[in-house]
Amino acid sequence: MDFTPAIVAFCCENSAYRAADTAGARQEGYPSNISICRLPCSGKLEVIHILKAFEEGADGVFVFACHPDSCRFLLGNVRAGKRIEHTAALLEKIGIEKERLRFFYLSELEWTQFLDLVRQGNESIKSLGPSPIKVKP
Amino acid sequence: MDSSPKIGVFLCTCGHMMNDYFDTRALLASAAKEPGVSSVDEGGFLCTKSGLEWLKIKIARSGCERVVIAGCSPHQHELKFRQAIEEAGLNRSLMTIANLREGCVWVCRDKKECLPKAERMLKAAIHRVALAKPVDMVQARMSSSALIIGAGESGVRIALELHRLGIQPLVIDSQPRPEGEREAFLPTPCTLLGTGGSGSGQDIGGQRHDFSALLKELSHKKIELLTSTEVREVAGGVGAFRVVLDTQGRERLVEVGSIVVASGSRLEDGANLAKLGSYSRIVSLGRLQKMIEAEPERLERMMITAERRAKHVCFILGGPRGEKSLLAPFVKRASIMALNQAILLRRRFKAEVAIVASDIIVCGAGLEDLYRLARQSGVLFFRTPESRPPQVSLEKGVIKIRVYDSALADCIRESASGEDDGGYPVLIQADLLALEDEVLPSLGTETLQSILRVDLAGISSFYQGNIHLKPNLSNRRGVFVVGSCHGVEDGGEMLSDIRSVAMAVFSLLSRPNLAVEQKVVINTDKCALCLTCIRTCPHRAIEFGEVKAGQKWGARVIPQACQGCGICAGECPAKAIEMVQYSDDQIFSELTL
Repeated sequence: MDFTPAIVAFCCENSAYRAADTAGARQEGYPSNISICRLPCSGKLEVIHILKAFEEGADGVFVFACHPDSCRFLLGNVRAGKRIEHTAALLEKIGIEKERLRFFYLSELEWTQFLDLVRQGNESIKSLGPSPIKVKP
Repeated sequence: MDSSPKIGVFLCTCGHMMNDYFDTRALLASAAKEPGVSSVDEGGFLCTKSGLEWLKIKIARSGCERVVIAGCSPHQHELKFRQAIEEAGLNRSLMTIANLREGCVWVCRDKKECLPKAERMLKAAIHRVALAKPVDMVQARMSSSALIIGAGESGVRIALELHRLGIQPLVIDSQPRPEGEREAFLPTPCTLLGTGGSGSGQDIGGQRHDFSALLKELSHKKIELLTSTEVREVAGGVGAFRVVLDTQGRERLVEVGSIVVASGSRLEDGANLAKLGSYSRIVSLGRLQKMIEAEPERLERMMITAERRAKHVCFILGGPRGEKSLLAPFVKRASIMALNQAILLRRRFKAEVAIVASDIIVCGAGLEDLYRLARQSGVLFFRTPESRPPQVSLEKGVIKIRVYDSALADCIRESASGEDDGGYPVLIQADLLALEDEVLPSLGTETLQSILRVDLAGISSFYQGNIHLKPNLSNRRGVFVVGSCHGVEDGGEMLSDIRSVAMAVFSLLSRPNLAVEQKVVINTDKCALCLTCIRTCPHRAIEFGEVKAGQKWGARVIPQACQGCGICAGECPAKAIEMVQYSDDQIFSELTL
């Protein structure tokens, strides 16, 4: 089956956004179906933003936060982690597989890990198929 | 719609590099169809001086009210472009960058994928900028004065340094008399083998300084010093902290631009902590240092016991209770002091010296040589596994130390099949035992922390920002930490610490007014005063009070203290807080797939 999932990656501008920039600058290439949304801190990400992404037709949402203990704003990444857990439970309730929402810790320098994560993530979303709310009756 | 703002889209082709990947005209043609777009154009290098001039002229000619720049990552030239559009007469926040270079053309393996992705990204940026709101610039008044908490070595030095830079310092101390010996220092290696080098911070940067001379300089320069004074309350933010001071019951309100915490640290005597009873032959490293310097005869007598003529001294490093010290600076401090004393005891007193430690840290200029010198002069080292700390017992006036040496165990196990329980047992008999002191934050540190509302690090000394990004900065803008209240350091490190803090305070307060963006706005009609934002703000940039004179109470942002992380906006249950450049609608507009 030839299916290209739509994936939104929420990236903290202090870490993963910069890692994505470096990954781009190295011209290694990663799936072009991943759209990056820049955030000032992963702590800014709200539940509604993730739900809205699914509503708009995303098949998967990735959230990248700084590593524990290295958030520039102390605990923004921890807050994001908790919110992701909560959102995953909400998604399950409305019939969206919680595997479609992935949360990763990443530092600014880990651009190779960024590549690995988005490539693997893309494959796993691909194997899940299109998002159930996208298939209209 | 006619009322929608006119948007100008400017594509930077990065010196025609983009043309290799997609048809730029096709991209701009599709962008021009988006609602609100009034002009589209492309240029070669927008980031150059001529490129920015070109941009300004284009903005003025086309009369656009919002700008989308499609080019490289915002991390490259965002500030430059914001300044340019500000010079063209637009508000700095009415701009969005579409990251087509790092985010699109360099990402797609297949060139055919480039154009659709670029179109999608540009469309998202156009939608985003259409919803942009202008950011207000606030002029924050910066008072050129600083409050220094703690009149120890570092506190007095920073007061003098700030005075030199033209900032009015006010020094307070909770004790009735300022003391220089309130800080735990690493002894500097250059002074170690001389007669000086007490390790108490009197030798700094190679010069011998007298603390009373520093105090004299303080009064000579008419720097106010309030003793027996504590901080009761801190309100406001950087540039205008309102601090209530309490001097033995008399309260006084001062307004300062910055607060420097130099509350120092204290030492807990290692010999008391070991809980072996008061036995004069068990001493702490600090006490031993003083005895070597001041009472050599008494030390000599102490080392000679009735039974044996040879003098045996043993050092146990690691936590005073036998456990390993938690932090490297403490291990380093004890290592340097013990190595120095061991060499002196070998040379001057001809004593047999053993050092028992699970870890020795000798990083730093000249310290590796110190370790080598100790080895060469015949000091014995026993390395214990962390799982089996040394056991000390007193038997008929002789101190017996049972040690399990892991290095020895490795050697012996090769020849004979020994026990493999981590460490070969060794019994050391000593006439004198020296133990490590524990470095603790000064009394009242936690109270001070809760009043200042800054965070503490693991060992309850003051948290210091990332050493590479923001050394000496606390999590609250305008509050700095200096000296041993945030960790043990040597004299030279303390001096550079003081200078960097002084420069940071100076650069913050040197201008009477500071223009800052109002990054976050609070809708007071929605604010229920639940205090969630006040609790979650990592920089203590939100306070509550009367929003307008005589009107309802609510939370308000201190713009000069805000660093724009958006955590408050993410947490606010009433959704009363909005980030000007990351509003919900703007984030949603980027999600159109």
